[in-house]
Amino acid sequence: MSTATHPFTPEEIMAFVDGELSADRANSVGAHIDHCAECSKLATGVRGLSQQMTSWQVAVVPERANKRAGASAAESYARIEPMLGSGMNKRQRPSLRLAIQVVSAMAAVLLVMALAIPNLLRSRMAANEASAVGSLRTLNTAAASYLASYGHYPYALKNFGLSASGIPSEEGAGLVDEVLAKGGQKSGYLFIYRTLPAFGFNSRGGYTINADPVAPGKGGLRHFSTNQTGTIFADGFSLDGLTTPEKSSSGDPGAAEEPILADHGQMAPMIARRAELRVAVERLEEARGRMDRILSQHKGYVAQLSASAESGSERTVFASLRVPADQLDVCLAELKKLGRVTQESQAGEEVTQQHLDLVARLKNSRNTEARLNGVLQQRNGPVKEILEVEKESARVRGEIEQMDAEQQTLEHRVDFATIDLKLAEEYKAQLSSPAPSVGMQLRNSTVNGFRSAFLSLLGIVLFLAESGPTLLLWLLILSFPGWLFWRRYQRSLAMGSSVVG
Amino acid sequence: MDQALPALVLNSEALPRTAMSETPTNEANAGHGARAASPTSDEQLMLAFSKGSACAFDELFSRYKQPIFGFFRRRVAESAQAEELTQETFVALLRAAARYEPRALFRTYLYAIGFKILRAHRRKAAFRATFFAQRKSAPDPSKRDATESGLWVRRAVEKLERVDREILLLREFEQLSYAEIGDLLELPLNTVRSRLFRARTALRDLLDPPATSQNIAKKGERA
Repeated sequence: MSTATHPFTPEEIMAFVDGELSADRANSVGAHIDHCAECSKLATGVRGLSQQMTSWQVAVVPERANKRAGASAAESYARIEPMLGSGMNKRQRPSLRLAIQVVSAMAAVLLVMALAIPNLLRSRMAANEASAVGSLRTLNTAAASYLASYGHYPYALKNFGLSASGIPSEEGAGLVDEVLAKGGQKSGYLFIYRTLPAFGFNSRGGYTINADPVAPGKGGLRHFSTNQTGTIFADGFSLDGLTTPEKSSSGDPGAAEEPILADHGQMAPMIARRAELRVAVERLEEARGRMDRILSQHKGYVAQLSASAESGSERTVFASLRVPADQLDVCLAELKKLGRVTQESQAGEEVTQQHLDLVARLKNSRNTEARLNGVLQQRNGPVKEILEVEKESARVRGEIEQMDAEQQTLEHRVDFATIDLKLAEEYKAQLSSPAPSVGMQLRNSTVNGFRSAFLSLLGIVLFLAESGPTLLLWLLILSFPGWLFWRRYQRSLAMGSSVVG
Repeated sequence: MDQALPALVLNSEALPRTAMSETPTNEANAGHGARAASPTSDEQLMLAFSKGSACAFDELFSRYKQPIFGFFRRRVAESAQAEELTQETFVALLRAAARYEPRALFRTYLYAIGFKILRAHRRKAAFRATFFAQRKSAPDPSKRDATESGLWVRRAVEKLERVDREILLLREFEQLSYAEIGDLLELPLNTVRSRLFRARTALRDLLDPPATSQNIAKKGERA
């Protein structure tokens, strides 16, 4: 059956049987069916099918359902009767319900955000820190490539990027991305590059790169640095783990006095070692006495000491101890015997380059001072010039003394390792100590609660201010497919998966 | 929605569906003989109920309890579930009475409520099946109503594509017009018509073999 031979489609014939055609169209179809056997057969088929379907009948509503529905209806009717015909605004109740739903949804969203925001901030800081370390590694690799190509390290961070001409050159080698090279800022960290002059055996000079968080506490917590050795430091501690100084392992006391030149023209690393130890002790006074004995035995000293004994908590002693670097391991082993070790960490900061830099600058300054002294001894110029030379000599002398002190401090840091020791006495509740009053506890809890609520609110506001536009954008982008999906889901639910009866 | 309704043709050949459909038509309500005892239209009754007439609701309940029960019974596994859903539909109608506005035919309005309740029921069943490992309720032959019949038709309808099946059921049993079906399922009118035709064609193909065999059997008996 086709429209070429029949003026009406089969669907129209079906619609005619169902009474779904307009009057004119129905008359035309009716007239056609009277003359066309094929269309008449189709119409009869539709009617027959409907007739056939009548065999699927369901039972009448059970009596119990009638009663239940009646009782339930009566109960509902009693509840809604005051609203019927009373002129009550038809939109009032739903709007109240809607308002409650909206407020509940907002409260739920705020709660989720309050819980999620601190984690998000922590995650972002961790990501920024990882990115900063990655950038420092990239810069180290780039600096090595630059050195191989041009014979010296870059003079500034911009030399890592691409030059204006777009051709790699000494001005811009095109080794790192432009964001890092030009702005010096990436993923919440600011990168500062400094060159070190060439001197002595270190004829190629060196560099240091510091990566500091732009907004400390928000974009990142730790400060990173690196130098031409490739070691990356976080807050002064090497990220690659503790490197044992050669002078400690060699067992030769004389080796610690002067830097040793290695076979390949490099110096043995100078490492300032630092250890942190927390020990839970049974009796604090006794442990402290033993600590003093250990220190005197190993020729160490207490750089700083503080004790606290707050009510309701354990008594603690925090001491910053300095011991000879070669005695560190022995000291630590003995300190661990004071009680139960609850925490231990060790780190080492390589200061070789810093020391070499200082020695070189000191040597230059001393040479300058010697030359100035030579000029002063000759005294064959005008008085004004002699006075200027004397002034310059005094300035250089001041610098020398300052650098001398720095060198001594640095060497002292290397010679004497630091142990941050915390002795905590195991907590013993005191019957005599009066517990805080109920009122004070209530007050403290209230203040803490308000502070916590304020901080949460502040966190939400900060989050919305920072991420709100992005979230809104994504919401707009995703709302349309989401709406389509929801509609499709609702429709699929409405249709069901199978028919039963 | 009534603006979207086609101009119904009085001389069009609508089948007499008294045996097949329990849904009262507006013509019947308007006093065409089938319901002489209740000449008031459904819409008038609903308006009267929304103004506080309890009798109007009783009348609507008596008119539609069977059609709504049939609507659910053909779509859920258990008769008890159909009873529950029927009850829920009328309770929802009661609660929505204050907001009722006669913008569409009452039966369309009522079936829309029923459809939403059915959707919610299926959503809950899917949720329970997913998270509580509860089996989706399937028909238990031993618990079938004794008066249920047309097993062959039911099985054939089950094999139809689900949108086609829903359109067919709404047309054949709930007696909804194409436009009403389109509004209920959010489908364009032409889609409803073409899918209904497709459903009928498919159903005829599914039903024909047994019909043929029955005819053969009958002929054999006559012989």
